[in-house]
Amino acid sequence: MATILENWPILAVLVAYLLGCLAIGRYFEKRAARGAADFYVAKRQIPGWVVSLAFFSTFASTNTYIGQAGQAFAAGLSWAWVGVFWTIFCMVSWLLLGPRLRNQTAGLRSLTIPDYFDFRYQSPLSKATRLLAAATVVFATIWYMAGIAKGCAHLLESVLGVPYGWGAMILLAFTCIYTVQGGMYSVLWTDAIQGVMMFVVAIVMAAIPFVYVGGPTELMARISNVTHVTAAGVPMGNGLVTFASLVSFTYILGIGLSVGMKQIAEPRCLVRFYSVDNAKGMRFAMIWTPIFLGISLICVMGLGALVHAMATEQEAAYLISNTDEVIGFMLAKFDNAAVSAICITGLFAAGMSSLASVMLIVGTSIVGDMWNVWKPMPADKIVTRTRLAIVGYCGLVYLVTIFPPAGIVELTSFSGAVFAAGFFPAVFGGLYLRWGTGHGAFWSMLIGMAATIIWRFGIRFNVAGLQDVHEIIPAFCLSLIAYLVISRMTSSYRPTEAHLDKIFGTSG
Amino acid sequence: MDFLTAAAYIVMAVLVVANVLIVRRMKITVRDEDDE
Repeated sequence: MATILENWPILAVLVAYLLGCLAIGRYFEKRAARGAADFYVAKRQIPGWVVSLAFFSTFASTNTYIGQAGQAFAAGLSWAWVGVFWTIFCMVSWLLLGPRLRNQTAGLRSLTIPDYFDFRYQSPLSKATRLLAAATVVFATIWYMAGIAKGCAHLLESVLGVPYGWGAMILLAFTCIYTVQGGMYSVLWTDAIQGVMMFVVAIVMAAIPFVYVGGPTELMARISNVTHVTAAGVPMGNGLVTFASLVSFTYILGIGLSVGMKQIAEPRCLVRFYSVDNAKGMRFAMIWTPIFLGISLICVMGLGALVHAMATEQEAAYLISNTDEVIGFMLAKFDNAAVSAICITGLFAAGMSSLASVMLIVGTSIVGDMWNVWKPMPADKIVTRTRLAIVGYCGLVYLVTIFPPAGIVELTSFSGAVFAAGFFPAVFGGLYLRWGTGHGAFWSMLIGMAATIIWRFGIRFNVAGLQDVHEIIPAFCLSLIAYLVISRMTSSYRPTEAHLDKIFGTSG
Repeated sequence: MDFLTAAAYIVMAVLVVANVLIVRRMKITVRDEDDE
């Protein structure tokens, strides 16, 4: 309690922010209850600037602002190359997938990514593909949500002294309440506010090392030749400012691809396109989303390397093995209550924005794509049951957060590779290739997921020289080849030309 | 900072600017559910 009272500015900003989120959920409660089209995709009537900020805040999470920013402490400024790949995939997502997915899903009356596979391909395997996609979402998301809840709970514990279990409960409960109340409406509008906060916090955080040491010249002089050592005990020297000196470019490429490709494959990002209201909004979002993300990544991706200028040798020796604590260390060392309040709330917002998005995706997958396919239900029951499914799933996530299995961070990053290898060929082929078939989609999904698992657990760490080759690279290639070859081999299962004309007629 | 490290920041900035130019040249349409 004493720690909480000592940090009243942080607490005040945090409480105001949480109450704001609840007010948004309450405001949209009735509108979201009108039906699945409202609750699932906000009736496709959300302004482009809101969707743009929501996409940015959903993709970037506490993992970006704490994990990736801290990773640069060990990897040096070369880690910024990860941000280059993420920016490229943000552009690819909006340029190649955004408008087409928005138009095709409107024409097909699709409300989720799994049901898009079903309606688009119309083959004997469409239902199986839909169920497989939904089951993957439900299984893979739990690790992701628990990872974020764990990170935010630790943050609350270290800054405010809130016990870990209570911190996790506060985070999950508040996020669950406004998600359940307002569905996609409240998720998108709170995401937009959280996006603004995250953009500001990225700039504020990047300024801290410069202000602390007295300017860019002094900062660069300090990190250009440090006496700090690597995790292996080797002096870093000029490694922080030398390309791929502390970490291989293959490793940078693997993280850049596996995380960046979430933007072109994960339902929580793709479903954003469904809600854009018109062409003007789409154009705005296509221009501004890479700007929001690119500037934020310029600020945070190399931040850990700059923190070396603020650390003594003893502090650096500890942080090099605990890079997740680098940002917390930076804020503590800077010791400014107002800056800490802004940054902590922004980091909390980063976690909540991603959590709310995936909560909704899980609820729609369980009810819309599994339960309703297995046993069709009256339309007026869908929203209520989706709300209940979200609450139940949050309870499960809470248990996993309280008793986290070993390697939860690895599981979280691994789930991104599963989505990218499993979903992208089916989405991209569905949008661009008239000859793509449901068989191609189903088998590419299965082969991509299997290859991800086999490479990760059977090959990568058992064969010399392959440790830095991330599973996303072979799995993605195999999945794409499978989609192309199997679609060609099963051309007799193509949907009718009338159906394809309806899909492709006015898309793009 | 060596050139290849600095290049990451330069490339990110160039990408964002290039994206603006690409989108401004694109023809974008968005259809409604009732458009058949």
